[in-house]
Amino acid sequence: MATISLSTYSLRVKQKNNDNFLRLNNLNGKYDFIKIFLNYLRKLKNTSHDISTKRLMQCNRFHLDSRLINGIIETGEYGYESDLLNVNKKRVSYRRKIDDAEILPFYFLLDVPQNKNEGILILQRFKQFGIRKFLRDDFKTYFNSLFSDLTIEIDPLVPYDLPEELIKKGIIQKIRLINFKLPVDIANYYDNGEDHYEEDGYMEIVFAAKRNKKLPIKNRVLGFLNKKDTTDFIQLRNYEYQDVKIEVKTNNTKRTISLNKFGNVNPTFDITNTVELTKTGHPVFDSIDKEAKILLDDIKNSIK
Amino acid sequence: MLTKINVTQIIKDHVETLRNYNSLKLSHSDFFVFFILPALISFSLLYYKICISNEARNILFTALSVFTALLFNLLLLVFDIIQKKEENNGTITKLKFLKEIYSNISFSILLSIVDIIVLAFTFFNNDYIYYAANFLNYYILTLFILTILMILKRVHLLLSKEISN
Repeated sequence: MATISLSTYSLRVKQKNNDNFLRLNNLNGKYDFIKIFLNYLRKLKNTSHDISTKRLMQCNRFHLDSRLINGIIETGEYGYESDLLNVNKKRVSYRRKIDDAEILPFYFLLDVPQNKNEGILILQRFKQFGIRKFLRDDFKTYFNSLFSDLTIEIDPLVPYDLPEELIKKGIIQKIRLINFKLPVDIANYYDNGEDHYEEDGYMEIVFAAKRNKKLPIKNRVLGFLNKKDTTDFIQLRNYEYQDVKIEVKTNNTKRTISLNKFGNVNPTFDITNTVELTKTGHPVFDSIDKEAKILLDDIKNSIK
Repeated sequence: MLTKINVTQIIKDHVETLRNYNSLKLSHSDFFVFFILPALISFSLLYYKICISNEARNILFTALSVFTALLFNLLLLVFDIIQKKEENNGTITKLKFLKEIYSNISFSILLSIVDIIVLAFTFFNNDYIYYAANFLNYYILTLFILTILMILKRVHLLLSKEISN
């Protein structure tokens, strides 16, 4: 099953020659960032096309609720041909042309609190695909055209305390030790594309608590949260693993936390097992929206 | 006292790159190839009394000097790539990979400098010093070539990826 996850980012604006970040609802004394972003999304209804990177982006669905904006941004790349094969008929059903772009939908949620200088942006990732870079670059271009004296920063938001808070408050129901079948040499891993190994197939050993019970391993998990090497989390003969994923239940919500030492700078929250999917294989909007809002609340509580 | 010329960190950092990426354990095969095999080659050459001639010594002096200079340039190139945060796109794997290449290049520069010094000892008339210097020279030279091959593979992959991106 394709991995669906949420990535979190902080959003801030400052003067170009100043390190102080501005209140997002009062840029240059009168502009509200929420309105600027809304106008940008309206502009995105007419597709944004980056010829240099051969990428398209559009937004036909967004909604404003007080200081929250959520919606779906669709993006895709073009520039190469390929055959699309029907897996049942084992025949080519369509030949993708060089000008055809495969459009994928990505959920987004932007929270711009009143009188704060930092907003929180949550973006969906689908397998190894995301929209952060393209969205950031495209929005920066739009923003800079309006405010030449301001600069916007969209950086990974690493809520360091969040995993610890979730584990302390919640009940550990499952531990998965995952072997990505990684190569011996980091060079081969880098060359083949880092996420490619996770998607190709992997082995895992699962320790699950019985129904309505918990695994009594909380202290051990907390001890490994800040460690670079988690391969000694549980000693198993003849089985090596690169990632330890902990399923924690808090307030009837299940959350998967990775102790992954290979984790990248962008923290991702795996929601593959909790989000509902449509027949198209993409998340149901209300389902992913609910997950994102729960995550947003958790982050806000952890960074207080 | 010797703090400013203490190069043990370079050696430690290079040895760390010999750990298997999937298990983080030191690879036995890599340890054999990089540390035992050069010793076997050196022993074999000395056993058959194949020592470095004057011409070979001069060629090695020149070659190692040139290599040292080129490797310093390569070091700066890799440093430049590390510095470009935007292109790194925030992946720790790429940064780790770059740092490993950096350590490998630093180690190979160290090897070439040490080998130049060791070659000087082959001028000595004392048999013990002469044969020890030959052994060390073969050992360091073999280790140097192996490290260069490792660097070649990694830099090739790195630059191929940069070009395709």
